[in-house]
Amino acid sequence: MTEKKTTAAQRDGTDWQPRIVAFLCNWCSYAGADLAGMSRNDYPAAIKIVRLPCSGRVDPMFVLKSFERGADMVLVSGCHPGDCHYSSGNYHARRKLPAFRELLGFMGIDPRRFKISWVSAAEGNKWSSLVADITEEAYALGPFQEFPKCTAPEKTG
Amino acid sequence: MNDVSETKLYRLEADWLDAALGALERDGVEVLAPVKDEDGSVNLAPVTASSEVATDYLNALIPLKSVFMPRTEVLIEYERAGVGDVEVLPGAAPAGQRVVLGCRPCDARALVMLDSVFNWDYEDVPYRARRDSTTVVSWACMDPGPHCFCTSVGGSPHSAEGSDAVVYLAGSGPALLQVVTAKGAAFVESLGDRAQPAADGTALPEPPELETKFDTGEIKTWLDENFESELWEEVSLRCLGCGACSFLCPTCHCFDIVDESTWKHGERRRNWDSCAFCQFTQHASGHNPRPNQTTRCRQRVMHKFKYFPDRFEQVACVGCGRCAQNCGVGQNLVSILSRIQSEEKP
Amino acid sequence: MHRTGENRMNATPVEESLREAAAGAIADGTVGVVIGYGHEAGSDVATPLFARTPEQARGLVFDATCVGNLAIYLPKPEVRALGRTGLVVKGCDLRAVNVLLREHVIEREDVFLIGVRCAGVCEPPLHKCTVCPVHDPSGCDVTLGDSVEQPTADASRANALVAEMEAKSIEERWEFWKRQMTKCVRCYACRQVCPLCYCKRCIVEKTTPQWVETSPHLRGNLAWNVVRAFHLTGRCVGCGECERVCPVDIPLGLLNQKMAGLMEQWFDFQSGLAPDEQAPFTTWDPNDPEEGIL
Repeated sequence: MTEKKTTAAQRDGTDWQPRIVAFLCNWCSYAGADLAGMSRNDYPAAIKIVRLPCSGRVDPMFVLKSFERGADMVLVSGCHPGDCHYSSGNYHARRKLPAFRELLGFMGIDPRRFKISWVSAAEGNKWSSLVADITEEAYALGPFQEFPKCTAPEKTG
Repeated sequence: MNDVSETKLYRLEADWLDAALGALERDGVEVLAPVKDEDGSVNLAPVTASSEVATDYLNALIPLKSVFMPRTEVLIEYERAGVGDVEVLPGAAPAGQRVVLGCRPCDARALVMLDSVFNWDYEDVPYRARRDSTTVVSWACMDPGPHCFCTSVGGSPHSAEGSDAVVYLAGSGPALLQVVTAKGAAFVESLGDRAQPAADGTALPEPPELETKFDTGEIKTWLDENFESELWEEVSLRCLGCGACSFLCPTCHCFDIVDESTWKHGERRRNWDSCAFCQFTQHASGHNPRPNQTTRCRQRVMHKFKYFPDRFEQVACVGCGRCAQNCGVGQNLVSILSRIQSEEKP
Repeated sequence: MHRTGENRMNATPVEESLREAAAGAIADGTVGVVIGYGHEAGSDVATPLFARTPEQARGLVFDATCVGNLAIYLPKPEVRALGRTGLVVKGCDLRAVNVLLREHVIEREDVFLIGVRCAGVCEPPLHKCTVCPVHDPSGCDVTLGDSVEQPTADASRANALVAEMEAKSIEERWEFWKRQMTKCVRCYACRQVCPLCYCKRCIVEKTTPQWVETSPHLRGNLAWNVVRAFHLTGRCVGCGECERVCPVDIPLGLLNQKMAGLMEQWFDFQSGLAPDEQAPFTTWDPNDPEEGIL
C-alpha cells in the first residue's frame, strides 16, 4: 500500500478523524491484517480491530452498539465463502449481516456506514487497500452523530 | 359541590388564549398545551400560538404525570477525573416557569396522589422542583368518553382538585375560569383585561352525567380479605404482562434507576417502570416474590385500591379509562372492579 | 372497526359449530381449555376467552372483531397448567402456530387446533387481511366455516407500504423513524403480544452486558426496535399484533413487512406456511448472493 497518508487537518482544517470499528475473524481477516502489518503495508489508523473467532459470531448488536458509542463506520470481515474454519460461519454471516444492513437503511441509517468484506490470511494487500478505501469513504460521509447524540430529554417526557 | 365564591370566578374574553400565550411568552414562561400530532394523537407539548392548541379532544394520550415525572430523566452525570476519581455533576436542571394549559381534571387530580408519594418519607427533589415551577390550568371535561369513570373513584368531570385553575370552555367564545390556588390567581393576572371577575350570580356549568360503576369502599373491604382468591388467577389469565396500562396511567409512579455509561462519562437515569413486568420484583438471587402474572395483576389492583388508601386515604385511580382503552387484550379495570364488588355483595 | 356490545342473542352458523366443537372437546377431555374469542362490554375488539367448561364455551364468538392472535397463549406455563390447549385460529394465527411448532416451542400433540376459515377481519379489512395467503387454515384438528375464496397473491400490493417508505430519501426515512421512535415509552406491548417473542429472558432484560439501553430516549428506543425487528426476521408471520397494541401508534408492522419482503425476495421464503419449513437464518446456501460484500 503506497498511498500517501493525508491527515485530517489537511482535509478540512479540523482534527476530526473517522472511527471505524472492525470485527475480524481470527482465522482469515485478522491474519490478513497481521500479514499487512508484517509486510509493512501502510494503511490509515482510523480502524480499531476487534478479534472474534468467526464472522458468524458477529451479532448485529455489535454493530448497533458500535454506532451508539460513536463509531462512524463498522466493518465485519471474515473468510471467503468456502474457507470458514468452522465450515459454515461465514455462510450464516452472509445471510444475516446484509439483511441487517437493509434494516438499517430502511430506518434511515446510512447503509454505507456498515461494510462487509472477505479477506483471507494471504490478502495483506487487499486488507490495506480496503482500509484505505473505506477510510476515505468515512471521511466523505463525515461524523455519524445520529446515534450517540440522540438522548436529549424531552420537555414533557 | 361547586361552591366557589364569586370573586374567584372570571369571565374570559374569546381571545383569552392568544392573550395568555402572548403574556406568558413575554414573561419567559413556557406553555404546554394539548397538540394534535401528525398521527392524530393529542399530547401536551410546548406551544406558542393558539392555532397549535387542540381544544376539542377527550384526553392526552400520555398523561400529565409526564410533565412532572418524565419517562426518562437524568438524575446525575459523572465523569472520570484522573485515576480512581470520579466527578459528579448535577443532573439536568428542572425546567423553568411553566404553565400547563388544557390538561383534563382527572389528570390534574392525579397530581394530588403523586404529591402524596413524592413528599412522603422523602421529598423527591426533581419532582418537587417541577411541581413548584408549574401552574396547572385544566379544562373542565364537557363530554366524557366511553371508558371514563371518574365519578366512580371520587372525581368529577369538573373536579378542581390538583388544578390551580379550571377553565370552562364554550366553543371558541368567552369562557369561564375558576381560580383554585394562588398560582391560579397569578395566571389570571397574566391575562390582564382579557379576564374580568364574573358577574354576580354567575354559576358554574353543571358537570355532565357519568354513571357510577362501582364503590371503592366496598371494593376495599373485599381486597382487605382476599389477598388469596381464585379471582386473581382468573382475571390475570389473559394479561400479557406489558406496561401499557401503567405507563399511560396518570397515577402510576413506579420507576427504575439505571446507569448508562462509557469509560469516561455516565448518566444515572430514572425511567418509568411497571409492576406488570416479570423482572420488576426479581431479586439478584433469582428469587421473584411475584413470580407470575397472577400475583402481578393482583399487585396492580391492590396498590391502587388497598395499599394506597391504607397509607394516604385516597385511591390511586382517577378514572381516566386509559388502561382499558389501550389494553391489547381488552383487560378492563372497570370490569374487574365491578366483579369484585359483586363478590362483596352477592 | 365493529362496535361490539353484549353477547349477541343469535349465534351465526359458524359460531354454533365453533361452540359445539369447543364444548365437545372440553366435555370429552380432549382439552383442558379452549382459548377463543368472546365479547366484553367496553372493548371494540373481541377479547380472549378461556373456556374451561362446556357452558363457558357457549360464550365463544367469531366475527369481524376477532382480530387478536391467540397463539400468544400457547407457550405460557400458566396456560399449559390448565391441560391440553384448544386454540381457535384463523389462517394468519395458524402461521404463528406453525412457527412455534417448527421452533419446537410446542409440540403438535400439545394443542388442539380449531381452525376457522376467514376472509378477513375488521371493516374495512386490515392490510394483512387484504394480502393474506391463508384464508383457509389447513392442518387443524377441526376446520369450521364456509369455504372462502383465496385471492391470487399480489406481491406489489403486499409490499405497497414498504415501497412507499423506500421511495423516500434516506434523510426522510431517518426523520420519519426518529419521530416515530421518539414516541416509544418502552411498555413492551409489542413484545408481549407477539406469539414469537417467547424468550424467557429478552435481550433487553440482560444487563451483563446491557446490549439495549432501557431508557426510553431515542437512542435506546432505536436499539430496542431494531433488535425486535431483526429477531423476528424470517420468523414474523405478519399478524400485525405489535402495531395494533402499540399505545403510541408506532407503525411497527412496517419494519416487519420490510424484513418479510426481503426474505421472500432473497430466499423465496414466507414464514409460517408449514410447520416443517426451514427458516432462512437457520440455514445457508453456497450460492447465496454476494452483493454488497467487499
